[in-house]
Amino acid sequence: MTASRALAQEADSLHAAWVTARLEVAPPAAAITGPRLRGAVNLPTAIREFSGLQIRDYGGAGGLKTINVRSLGSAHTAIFLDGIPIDNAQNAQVDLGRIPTEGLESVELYQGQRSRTLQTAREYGSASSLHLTSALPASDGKQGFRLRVRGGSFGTVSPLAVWESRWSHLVSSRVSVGMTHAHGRYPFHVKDFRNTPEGYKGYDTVMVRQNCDLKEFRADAHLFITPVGGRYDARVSWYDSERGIPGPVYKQADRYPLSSDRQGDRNLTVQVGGEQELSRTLSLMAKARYARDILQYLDVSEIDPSVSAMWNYLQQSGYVSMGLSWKASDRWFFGGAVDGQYETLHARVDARRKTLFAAGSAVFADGPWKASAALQYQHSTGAGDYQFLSPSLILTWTPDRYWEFGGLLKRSCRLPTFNDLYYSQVTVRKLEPEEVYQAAAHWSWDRRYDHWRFQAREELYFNYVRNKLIAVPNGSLFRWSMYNLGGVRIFGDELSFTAAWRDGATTLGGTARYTFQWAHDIEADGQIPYIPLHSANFRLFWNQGDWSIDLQGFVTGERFSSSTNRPDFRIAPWTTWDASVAYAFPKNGLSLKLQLNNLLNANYEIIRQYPMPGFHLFGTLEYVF
Amino acid sequence: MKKIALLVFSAVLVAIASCTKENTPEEVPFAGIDVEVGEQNGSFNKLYILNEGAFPGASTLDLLDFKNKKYCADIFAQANPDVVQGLGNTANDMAVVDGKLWVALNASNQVAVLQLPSAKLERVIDVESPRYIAVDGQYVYVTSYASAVYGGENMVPGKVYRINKKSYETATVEVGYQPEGLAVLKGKLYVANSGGYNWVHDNRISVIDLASFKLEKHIEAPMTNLFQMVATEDQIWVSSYGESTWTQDEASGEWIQSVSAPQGLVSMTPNGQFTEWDGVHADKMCLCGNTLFCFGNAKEMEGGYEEWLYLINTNLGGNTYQGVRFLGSGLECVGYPYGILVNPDNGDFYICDASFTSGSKVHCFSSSLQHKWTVDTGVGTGHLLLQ
Repeated sequence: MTASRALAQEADSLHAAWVTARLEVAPPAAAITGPRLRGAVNLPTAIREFSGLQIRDYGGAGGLKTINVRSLGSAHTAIFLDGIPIDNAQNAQVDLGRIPTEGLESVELYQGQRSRTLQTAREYGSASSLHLTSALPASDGKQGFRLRVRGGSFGTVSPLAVWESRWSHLVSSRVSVGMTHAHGRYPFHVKDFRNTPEGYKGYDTVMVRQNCDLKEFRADAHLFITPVGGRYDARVSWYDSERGIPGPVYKQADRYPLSSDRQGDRNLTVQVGGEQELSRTLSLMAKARYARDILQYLDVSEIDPSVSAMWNYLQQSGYVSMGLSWKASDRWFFGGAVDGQYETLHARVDARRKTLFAAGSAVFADGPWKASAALQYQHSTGAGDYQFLSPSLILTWTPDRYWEFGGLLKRSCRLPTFNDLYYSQVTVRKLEPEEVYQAAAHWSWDRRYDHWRFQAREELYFNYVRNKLIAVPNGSLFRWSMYNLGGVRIFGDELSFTAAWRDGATTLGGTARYTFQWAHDIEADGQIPYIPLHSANFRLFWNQGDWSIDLQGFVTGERFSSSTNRPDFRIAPWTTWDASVAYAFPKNGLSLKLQLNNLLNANYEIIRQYPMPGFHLFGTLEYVF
Repeated sequence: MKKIALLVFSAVLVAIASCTKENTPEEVPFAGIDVEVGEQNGSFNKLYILNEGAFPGASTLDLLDFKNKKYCADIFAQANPDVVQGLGNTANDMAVVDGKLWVALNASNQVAVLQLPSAKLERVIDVESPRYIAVDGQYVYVTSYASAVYGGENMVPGKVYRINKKSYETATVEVGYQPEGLAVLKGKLYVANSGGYNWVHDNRISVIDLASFKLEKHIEAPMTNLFQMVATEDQIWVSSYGESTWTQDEASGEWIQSVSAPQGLVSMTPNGQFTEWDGVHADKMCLCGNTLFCFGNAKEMEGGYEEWLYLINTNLGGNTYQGVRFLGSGLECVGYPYGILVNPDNGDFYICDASFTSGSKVHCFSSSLQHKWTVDTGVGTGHLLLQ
């Protein structure tokens, strides 16, 4: 449980306006916090166990990693860093692999939206949201340094230095600098066997993934001011990387490489935010962000490396949000926010988009009942003129300390991206937003018996997607068209169960999660691509004083790379097991961690033609002083 | 109007000249599923169906076996289970040459030669970014994008490969940018250049003397972004992808794309005299006898999407043609036409209804535009061949 949520639950006793403004009607559907989060190799690895969440991983050190919640696609999950959305107007894909976890306190996944009264208007308009919250630095001392080096497979070397400082009881800061170097190469199998009249025949060949090196550097400075009844922060981040783009694996003439393409990124982000209680009933919030992303893509001919095309994209985004929360009575709370966003993309065709988000919400809390009704209005101009209303209703009933029941109704959308509008389209056609209708219900149970703690949760949901945005090539290698085509019905069930036993320095436990997703393409009459009907994951953990051991298993059922679920589109089920062992030296601040991934060397693909690595490992040495 | 169209379509059936066919009824060894495809398919026993795959997904070759009423998917993998990574990727064209099937695999930079009817792989020929295939005499000609990349700073001209049918020896000649369709007429090879990877598209037809295999000249067509090409007895027929331009609206700053030239069709005599077929929006084409079948988007200029089928009697000039809108006719079931083939025996024609995210379909229509049957095919079905 995160600090903010603990606060929220004590809201009634504290009577502070800022605390009630942060009261959440429904808790996050999944969360990961503390050292487990910070110790993860990257953000996708940390959150992949979440129910209903799928990480689209193109494999390897520099491979794109995006989030897909409840089969809706990455564009329908908004990602917030300290309450401010991280966007990509060009293609609506945020590469989670680039977001460091070391400064984070928690990562929480909300279905529908986070249901506070004091939050941005943007929050109300996505089908789900992933909230990354920064940890307050050096809470237990005046100064702190953390040096970490991680290394291992794919030629990975990744040093990190963090300096945390508490300047006064109000002001603290964190500065971190890190880099990663990897050649990225790994072997994988290409195989196909089938029954033929001459028997079971096929091939199994080992190839090596090439052109997947990664060089990245990042620096981050974060200042916090934490007065009573408020929190302010300011942050500057710099990210610089260069990587090879290995491309999909396909049959290529022996003399040519699959890809020699390169990509360079330079991103600068500045964000500031503040929340403050103004009186016993009023709280105010203001947030702003500026992001400047330079992407350089070098398309190199695989036939003749001297022939290439350089694509430069400069994306800038400015975002401002102001919100107010009003505690009208002990039972009624109201919130409102207005956001403005301006996004530009400078490339061969310049694009810009101005969007206004305005949202209001009413929260009712009485005894075991909590409800939130919200409405977001979105008006976007510059790149198509779009107006959209996203209403939502969230309800929870907590009859006692152990049980919670809840429900969600919501309509939301995603607008066509700049890529959809300008870079893939040839036929002039008005594109409509892709719309999502959600209905969901959940129950959860959390109970302790002596040394034991048991937690169980189930979520049932139904999603309907209409006007899906789909790209269709126009009979050539260089002309594509976007269409609003068809719809998808998704029915899902997510179950999770945790049991933990604790006695003194010993904690033993396990979690099992199962997800059922029936995601039906109405036109093609089949399960949509890449969504397994069944998936599950398991975790066993054992903490013994300074030792901790963790074992995680992921099982993904059969999938299809097309909505036509024919055998030739089938992607085989896969299972991976990862283990980690960590030891913290009791006195000197040193700790060691060994992560062994894909223990059974499974050969699998998450995205067709993008093979994932087999067994690989990372070792981490950390020194805190 | 419709009656006239029907009459013309019926006339097509009568007018269709005989095309080559092969009659060797033998048991096809492939596993497949039973399909209902009617009894009358002329004297043809097989329809080969080439699926391009999702870009750059694996391409597959399917077989519709009329005789046994079986649809056999991915017969290449069935026949060659040990060939690593199957047939190859982004299959852009196929042709039967002396009883062998040649398949141009664009992304794989290969042309595969398969034995028929076994589909056993006989040979793989390295061809840079192959697109379309034509056959004449001892040689197979293949257009090639060479090493060009989209938007490249250095524009790299395309090539035509000449491949000896028996020895598979190759020779190349440089042509225009991103050559597409090609056709042989009276000892010359004509090549439609698109220039689709460049900011300014190509409008030239390359003329290659077949005896010397040298580029003779370039003829400028009255349209750009040239695409498909067929040859009749005395003319070359060329289609165009059309042209679009971007303009920025001053007030809103919004970029608006407008189509400045629609998908078009011209015919050309060997001495370079063009006839523009105004009103014919040709994307893909199929010539059968002296009737040219083509289809395209007739509402492109208005920013709409409305597929029409056009029929042209190539013996008659004077811009006379028949057009039928898909919507409201028997062709209504076609979602996204991507390829067309006419059966010269009975006047039936087949339209590929392609999907690049899921399975495609092939529909069969009678010459009177009546829907006869539909089969489910692979991803990105674009090319058909009767045997």
